[in-house]
Amino acid sequence: MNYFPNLNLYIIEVIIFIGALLCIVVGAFIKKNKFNKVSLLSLATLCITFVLILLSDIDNFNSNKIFVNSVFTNVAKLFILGLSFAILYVSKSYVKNNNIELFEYPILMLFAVLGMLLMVSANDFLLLYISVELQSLSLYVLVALNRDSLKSSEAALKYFILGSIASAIILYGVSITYSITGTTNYDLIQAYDFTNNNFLLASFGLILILSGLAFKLSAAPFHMWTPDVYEGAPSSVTTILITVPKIAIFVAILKVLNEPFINFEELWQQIIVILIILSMLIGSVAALRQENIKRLFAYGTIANIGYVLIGLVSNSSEGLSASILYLVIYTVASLGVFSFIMMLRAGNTQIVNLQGLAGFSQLNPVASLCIVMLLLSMAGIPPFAGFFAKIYIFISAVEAGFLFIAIIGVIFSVISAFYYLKIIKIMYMDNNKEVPSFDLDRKMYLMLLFTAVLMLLFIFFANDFINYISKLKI
Amino acid sequence: MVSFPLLTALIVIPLLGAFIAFLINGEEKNISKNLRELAIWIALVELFLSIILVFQFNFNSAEFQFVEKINILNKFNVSYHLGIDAISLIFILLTTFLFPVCLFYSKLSIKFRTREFVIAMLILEALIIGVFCSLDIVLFYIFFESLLIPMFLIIGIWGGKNRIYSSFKFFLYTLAGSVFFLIAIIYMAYISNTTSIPQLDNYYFSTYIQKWLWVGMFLSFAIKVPMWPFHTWLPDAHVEAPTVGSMILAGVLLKVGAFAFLRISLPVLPEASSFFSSYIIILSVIAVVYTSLVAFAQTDIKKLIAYSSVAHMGYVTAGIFSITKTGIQGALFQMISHGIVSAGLFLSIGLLYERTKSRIILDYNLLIKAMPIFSVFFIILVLSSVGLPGTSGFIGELLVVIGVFKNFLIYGFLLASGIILGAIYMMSLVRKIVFTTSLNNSETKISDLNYLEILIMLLLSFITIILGLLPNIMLNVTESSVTKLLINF
Repeated sequence: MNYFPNLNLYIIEVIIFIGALLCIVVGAFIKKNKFNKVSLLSLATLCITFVLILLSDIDNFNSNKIFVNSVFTNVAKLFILGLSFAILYVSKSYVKNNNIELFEYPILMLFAVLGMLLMVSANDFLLLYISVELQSLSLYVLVALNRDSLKSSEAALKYFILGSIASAIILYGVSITYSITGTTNYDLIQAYDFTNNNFLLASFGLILILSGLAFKLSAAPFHMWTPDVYEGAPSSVTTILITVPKIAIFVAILKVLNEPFINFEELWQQIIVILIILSMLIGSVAALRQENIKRLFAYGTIANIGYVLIGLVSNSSEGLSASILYLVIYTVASLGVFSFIMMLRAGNTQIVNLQGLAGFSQLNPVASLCIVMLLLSMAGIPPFAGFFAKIYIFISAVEAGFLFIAIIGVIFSVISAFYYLKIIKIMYMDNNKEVPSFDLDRKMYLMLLFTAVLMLLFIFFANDFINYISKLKI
Repeated sequence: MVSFPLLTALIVIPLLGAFIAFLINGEEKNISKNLRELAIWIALVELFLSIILVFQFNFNSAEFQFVEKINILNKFNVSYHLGIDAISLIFILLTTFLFPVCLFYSKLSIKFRTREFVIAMLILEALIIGVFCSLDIVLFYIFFESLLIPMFLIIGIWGGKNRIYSSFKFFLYTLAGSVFFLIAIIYMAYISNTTSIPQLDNYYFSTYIQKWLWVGMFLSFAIKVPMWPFHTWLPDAHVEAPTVGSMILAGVLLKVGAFAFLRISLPVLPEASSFFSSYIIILSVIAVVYTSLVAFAQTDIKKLIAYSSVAHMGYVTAGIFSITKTGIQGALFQMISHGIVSAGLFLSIGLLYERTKSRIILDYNLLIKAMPIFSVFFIILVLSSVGLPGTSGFIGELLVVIGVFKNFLIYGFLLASGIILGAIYMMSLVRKIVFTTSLNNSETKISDLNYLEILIMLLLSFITIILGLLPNIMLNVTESSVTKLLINF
């Protein structure tokens, strides 16, 4: 008897799981240098899985009922693994400097990654729910990593309570869908023939599931937790929160809407349109008056999620690839910006206030040039990568007949340009008599440089990249 | 035969220069000297290249020349598509001429953060040339929009007291206009499935769509020009910008908007252009009359010149939308003339400001005694600005007014009255600061120009007079292109 049918299918997840367990053992039994060893081991795990996906036949479409691997999911997994590797690698010195050198940090990160990988492949509502929970629980603990900080604990508690409610809402939606169709499998639900009698109830289920997922994606009006959590969490954890889960959850939403609920397209399009407009509005307007860098970017994320969703609403393969393009560029830029934020140490304190940056460009011309490129890219100013992301998003909106969304989108992009400019202004134009000397960490500096150069040179390989994304058969 | 890609070279060389400037290292004192020299050399190479461009240019053809095309995006076949006609040629020349002048002058005026300054200037030059030669509408937008970044930094870092407010106003105002242009571009590409300007020229959009597209673009271009009532960012930006920034802003950047009207609005959307032409002429007339009156009320010299710029650009838009050959020729001439003259005027204010740290009219008197050489040049530039026959300003304004008279008699009359209004405020400025002694102030003691400054001023005044005496050297060049532009009307 074959007890492990089709192990190949989820070998990646199994390896990550084993790696995480190993890390726990190492962390529990080794006395010296716990953190270094555990983080090395987890980096190795991420690296091995990354290589394994690369070596496996990426184009292979493979599935059993609840777990599906396709080109798209494989590439998404590669991206998630790569990003997590980069974050874990870069944030090491941040964690050390701020005395949160706990060996649980890499382990929890591995579990979160495991959850995201499962989420990407999920083809069944139960697996989706379990993976969302696995990811969220790991992240709740990560947010509370800095036990001595009141803000960190408060943020974690808020995140935990609201997050559990969101999870419960997802579960409620799933159970309603189950009550009608008698199944939780995506394919079976898609094939189910909804009648007028149960259509309303099923839409109720859809709305609940979508709201829960939108909460995890921090799309307005389900964004309330985002600023507090991002501000309270240690910057390294905020870096994780702002990048990796967004991709996984977006892929999950994309699959949920297009597979089981494809018959409800007209309904969820309206919901997403509302999410888009609210996210862009709240994100760009609320960010204007923020003084804390992390809080500012938290609102920035909300606005950007609004733009990402525009591609989803047009629901053509072009729109979806535009969304993915936007998300990829946005997360890479965020990684750069957050390695900058983690890097900002003057004396022995971490700088989180915008005014602390005054005069930054005088002593660090290269770093500030890089951050300018990243910010302008986020603001969607050509010739940086963000411009191409935005133009593709707007093209998809126009082609799908949502011209008004494109117009609202460009208006808010002007508003959001203001706060990105504000940061540039503080760095370049506010003269600070005593510019504190920043001790810039080399790894983070490299990451900043690397992402900034990517944003600048994107124009040269834009075409190939976009072609690649559109070939993924999302 | 694959010819040398001159236009790409024009765009790439300043970028390379900026990159080298980024790498230059050494002692503090030497760095800034080396950086300036590097920038000046790059700008001179650009000038040289553009002169080669003139010699290789075929003036008999109205087609786009020096065309280069490389596909960059599969979607809509967006490509790196460059090419110039005579209209772009004269603007490229204006740009490559003004940049070395500005950089020479910046030797005296920009005293800190030279590296950033040089990089910003070189990138700015590359982008401006890019705007003038792109033949793909997305590429055009990319250049058009990225211009904001270096200009924002130039105003914000090296500007005056209120620089941050002004630079933000400049950036956000122009960005707000441009995004509608972006939507118009996307919609246009979506309908016609191409972004190449020569192909769009031949594509027919229905009248209803043309009007909407036209309005979207109009917002963007009108803000860049700037036309009344979208001009409010300009006085702020000018007053706070460093002298070099003002020179570039007035000399070249304002022309970008008008150039966009000529390159995109007129040929691609002819029906909408003729539909809206009378409204534009009304706005232009208001611009000329209103801003002249506002300029008359100014106490700050730089603000006065800034308002006069708006008035002069009013002639340009009126000339373009008279949709006659004379009018457009006049508009082109006016743009080049204004480019040189306003750069010269802002330079004059900069020279005064450096010596006295004041821009207030009342702080100056009897400059003719203190600075005779300066006064001569200043008066030549002012006369050219008010359109005295024999200077370049006269030809431009005359042709525009004739062009407007052909189709819109009353507006032409009002426009012509603007010439007198212009004379009133400019001449009274000259009277106040150059000739009279006010009662409270004793004679101002200021040193006169040094050799470098004389050279620059001489060059600028010389060109305005040459263009005024021999206007045909430019009018003949642009004639065939302008004729082609009007083929759809």
